[in-house]
Amino acid sequence: MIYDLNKIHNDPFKDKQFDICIIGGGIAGITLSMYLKKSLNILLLEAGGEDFSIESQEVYKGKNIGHEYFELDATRARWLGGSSNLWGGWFAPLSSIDFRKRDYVKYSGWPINKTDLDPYDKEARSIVDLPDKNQSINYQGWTDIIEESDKNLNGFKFKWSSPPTNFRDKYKSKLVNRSNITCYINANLTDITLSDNLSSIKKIEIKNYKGALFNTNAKIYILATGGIENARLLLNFNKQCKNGIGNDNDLVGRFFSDHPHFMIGSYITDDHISKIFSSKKVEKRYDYRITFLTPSEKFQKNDKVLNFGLRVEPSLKAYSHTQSFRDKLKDVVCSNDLSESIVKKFRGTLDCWTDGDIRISAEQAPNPKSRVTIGSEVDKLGLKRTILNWQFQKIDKTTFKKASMDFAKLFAKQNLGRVKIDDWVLTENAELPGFPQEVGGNHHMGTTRMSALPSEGVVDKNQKVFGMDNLYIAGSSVFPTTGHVNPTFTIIQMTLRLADHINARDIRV
Amino acid sequence: MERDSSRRKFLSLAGKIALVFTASVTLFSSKKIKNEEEYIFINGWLLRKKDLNDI
Repeated sequence: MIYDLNKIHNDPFKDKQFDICIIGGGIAGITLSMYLKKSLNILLLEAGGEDFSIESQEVYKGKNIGHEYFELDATRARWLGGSSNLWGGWFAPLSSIDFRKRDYVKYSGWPINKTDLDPYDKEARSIVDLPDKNQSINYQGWTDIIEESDKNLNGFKFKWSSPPTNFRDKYKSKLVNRSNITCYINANLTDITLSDNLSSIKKIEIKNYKGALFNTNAKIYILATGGIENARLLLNFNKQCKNGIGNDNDLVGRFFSDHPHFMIGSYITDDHISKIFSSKKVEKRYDYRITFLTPSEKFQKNDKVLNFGLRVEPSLKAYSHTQSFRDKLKDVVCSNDLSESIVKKFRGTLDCWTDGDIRISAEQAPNPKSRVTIGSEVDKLGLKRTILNWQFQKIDKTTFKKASMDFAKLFAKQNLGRVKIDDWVLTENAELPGFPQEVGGNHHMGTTRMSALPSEGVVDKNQKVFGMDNLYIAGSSVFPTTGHVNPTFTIIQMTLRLADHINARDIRV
Repeated sequence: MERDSSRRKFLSLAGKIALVFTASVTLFSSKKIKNEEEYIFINGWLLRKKDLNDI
């Protein structure tokens, strides 16, 4: 059943004991509640309501002090369904190399392998309503033109949940009807009390938006509130552990990552390519025009670059063959940055000819200085607000540069056309751009990373917090590295694996 | 209207001046051009050296 804690006056938790308490009714939390054994008595707490509300979303406000990033109350959704209320439906599994330790990527390596998650592929696909056939985005751009045999860059296709599965809409009736699940909305976790030896959670405090406080307890707790909030909550609960729960090694909140999304250049096409495009039906949907290229493992190792997805994005103009390659080349050689910048300064924009853009969405190297901390300002629930310091390292920029150089050479070598690489990519020490570039993917990862050793991470290979008997963390905050693909598929795979682990655990008192 | 017209004239002049004085600098500046095998960088564009003969 789903209850609204704002509308409840008597303590609904009095004399109740739950087997499992899941904090967070987003993709991970709802998936977990569905796949845990039906014999388990589950409490699911969602901090928001069934729909967006200012009173809930406002709690997400925080401060960005690092690289330009999205407003923290705009980059996530604090109501039932969580980020599935916002996501675009693209997904793909991580590659094998993403799990491995790479000597050129400090802090890389998962304590599990891709083969540990592969068994959950089929179920994960059904959760996001993928058809059985090998459906993918029906790309109409470059896929049939760029040679797949290039040794460094390979074609890549995302799968597409279309329309993107909304977990609230899909699972609400199941949450209502499952007799073993009790779901409360407008139920905010505001404190955790640990046992005397600090090795397990004794009880939790829940607050509604009217200020009423409740306490409850369960045998096992799973924190599933998202890649920023998981860290913020653990850091806030410091009445017994001065650094916060699970933070003996000062790792909670560190290694915050997103997938940096930057436009890195543009291109013109050779005449024979322009003719192919002019013979195609104009594809107005941006998603359908893109072609993705990813680096081979050999390229990543030899060039010491991170994983990435290079997006070749034909403009609508590319479908009309109105200017010869020779004329385009002339424009390229005769134009120059200074005259362009003068014109742009006066006119605001300058519409130089290009047949399309090149964008990168890349893995971000794990960086302990890129982190979530808490400030002094508190929200209406009494918890300290988030401070996010998003930081990059040299290898991130090197990856952008090598990716664009390799693609530019491929383009010229195969006589597909020519590529312009933007100044900031080529210029040593140039800062990465901020808005109006896309900047990131709203993928919050890494802040409670998984590792084999407590000295290197917050959770173990089963997502249990080191040093705690009954606290697990679900969601992308446990990713030690991020690959280049959108995180939803991996979140679902890992949550299904977590459900299997908890189902196999003997949780009798 | 008149202001726009003046601006266009100025832009045209500024563009020409900029072209005359910077094209050569841009083409031969070691900062802007990196010769790499058969490739050459001009204004950020990675061209094949033979492109310069084709235009």
